[in-house]
Amino acid sequence: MSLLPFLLVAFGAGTMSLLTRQRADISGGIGIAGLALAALAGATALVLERVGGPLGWGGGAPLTDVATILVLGTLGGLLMVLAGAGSGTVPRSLPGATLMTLGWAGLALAVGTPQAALVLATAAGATSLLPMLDTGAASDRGAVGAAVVLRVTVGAGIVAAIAAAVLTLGPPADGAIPVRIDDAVAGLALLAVAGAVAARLGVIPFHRAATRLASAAPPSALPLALIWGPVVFALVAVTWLAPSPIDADLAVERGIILVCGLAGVLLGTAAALIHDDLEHVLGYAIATDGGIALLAIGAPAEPVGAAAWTWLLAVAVGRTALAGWVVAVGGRSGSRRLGDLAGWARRSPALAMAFAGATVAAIGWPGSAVFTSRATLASAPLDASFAPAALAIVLAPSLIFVRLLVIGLRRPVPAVRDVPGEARTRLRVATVAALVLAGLGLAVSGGLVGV
Amino acid sequence: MSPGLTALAVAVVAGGVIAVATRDARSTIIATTLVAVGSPILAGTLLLPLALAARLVSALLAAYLLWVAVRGQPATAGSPIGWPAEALVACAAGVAGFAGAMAASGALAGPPEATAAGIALLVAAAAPLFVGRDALRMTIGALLAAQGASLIGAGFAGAPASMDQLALAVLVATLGAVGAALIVRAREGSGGLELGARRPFGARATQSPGTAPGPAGAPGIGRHLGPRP
Repeated sequence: MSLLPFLLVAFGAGTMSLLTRQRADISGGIGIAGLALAALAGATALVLERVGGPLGWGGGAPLTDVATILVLGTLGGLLMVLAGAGSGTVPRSLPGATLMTLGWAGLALAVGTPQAALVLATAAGATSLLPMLDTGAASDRGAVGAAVVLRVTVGAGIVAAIAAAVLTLGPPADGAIPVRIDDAVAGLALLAVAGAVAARLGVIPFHRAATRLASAAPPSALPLALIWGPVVFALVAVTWLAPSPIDADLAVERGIILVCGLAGVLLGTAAALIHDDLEHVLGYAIATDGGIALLAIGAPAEPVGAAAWTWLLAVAVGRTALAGWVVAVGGRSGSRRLGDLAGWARRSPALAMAFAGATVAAIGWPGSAVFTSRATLASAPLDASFAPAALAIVLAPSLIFVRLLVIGLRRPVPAVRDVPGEARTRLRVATVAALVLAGLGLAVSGGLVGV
Repeated sequence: MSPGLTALAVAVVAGGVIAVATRDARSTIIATTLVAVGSPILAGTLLLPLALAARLVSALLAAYLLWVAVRGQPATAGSPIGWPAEALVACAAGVAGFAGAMAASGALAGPPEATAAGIALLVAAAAPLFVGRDALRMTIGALLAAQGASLIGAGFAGAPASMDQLALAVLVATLGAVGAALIVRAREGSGGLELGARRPFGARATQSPGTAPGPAGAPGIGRHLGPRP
């Protein structure tokens, strides 16, 4: 019950912020105050749980893990609102939608049945799209992109909920007939869950909706719709369905998921290296993370559950940090095309620090939480002889960061060199927010904060 | 096989077919609401009054939000293949689902009628959900698909737990709210229900409630889309 204050603040302030969004100042004030209060409530729940021992909890994931995710989500949301406000690209409903999304996410992770958890995670995903529908904040293309993502969200949620009903099929009410799910049906259900997670996380070939949204929506709203919503869905799936609750021989299906996951990582990396605008690069970077998360669904071993949680939390915070940097660096030069950003690192040391932090948070270092969890996910489903190759594949997305850094170290172009003083002052908030997000990402990546 | 449940399943599927086939926006919303009211009863939640109440309230809330959003915009795109074809497709899916559920009745804990109606609703909802840019049809498709999935779950696992019902109530209300936002956004952009469509040159930015219907031959299209004076 110690999550109750968080939920009350999240739903109360979120609803009020959304209802008053015609008045930007009032709505923003309520939303920002709500985000701060919700983070405080979540942190209090975390401290009470750790100091006072387990409280009453009959749900899914452990309360400490849920509270950690919610606190990091609210802090990330708050910083993205501030970064967006600093660069002048924040949708009015972003604070309210962030609160509501995290409220549903908290319930999804807390409830005790997989169907309810997946349905609530779908509701969280749908809510996270509200900022894309703000008049003035997003273009018509952004609204169309949000509609396409909504289709994917609902479709994935429905498929996963039906598959969960199959995979967790219990005995009939009278208990007279023992239930034995056919292996083929169980395999199809597992593939359906993996497909739903892949679709939500935008893993290639399900990337079209996410990248379409990324290219047209306000960057400050992207982490909520493309990172936190899908990550919560993946966490729910991993919690309840990986490894499969059914005792069946699913080696072929697991092999398919493994190949799809690794291919998604490679293809996502290649796409991010080809595309020429920051939003697409961010979208494909998230897609590569989704490929690695798929490995958890396909892995038969028990320990991948903890590794998947650590990995997904690091992904959520690390990619939010990268999005914060995108907002700040894009706002500084007025363009998000990579050609117009040459020399950004030379002209803005603070943004270079934020980028370095986001990079290290994403890649990790040997022994760090994110590095270890990624290695576990890559090696668990494979024989020892194939594990090094899989590890090399899952480290391939590091090239995305190398490319951005190389561009940043080139000779500065005029758009980067000649930033008006007024814009610099305005963007200080966005830069500071990006720096704090990078620090948060480093803390999670290193295991200082985490599950 | 219970005659009462069969009749209810047929009514739910009929509601779904009307919702996706009709061109009248408010009839679509009413039919979807009827599906949302009938589904939890078919799923066996009569013994869970709190969960049933939550499902009914969420259905009414979603309907209200959509009703407000389509005010003054009486026409939706409707089914491109017409209601007889929609009905036949849904019936075929329902019969197939019923046969499958009867064949697997040893493994399934719920009524086969629920499975059949759920599959029929999912099939009926697929086209509006995944094809086209009509914001109302997309929302209706999403709502019907959610109801269909819940019925299939009930057919597989028996009467759902209260928590599952409450979660579905949350999803229905959320889809209603997001769908209403989509509709409002579509109307602000194009004047109609189609997302991403361009407003004709000289058209007004907003349309007040209750504006006159469109010109002859284009029933339900707002006046601002008619010929320029």
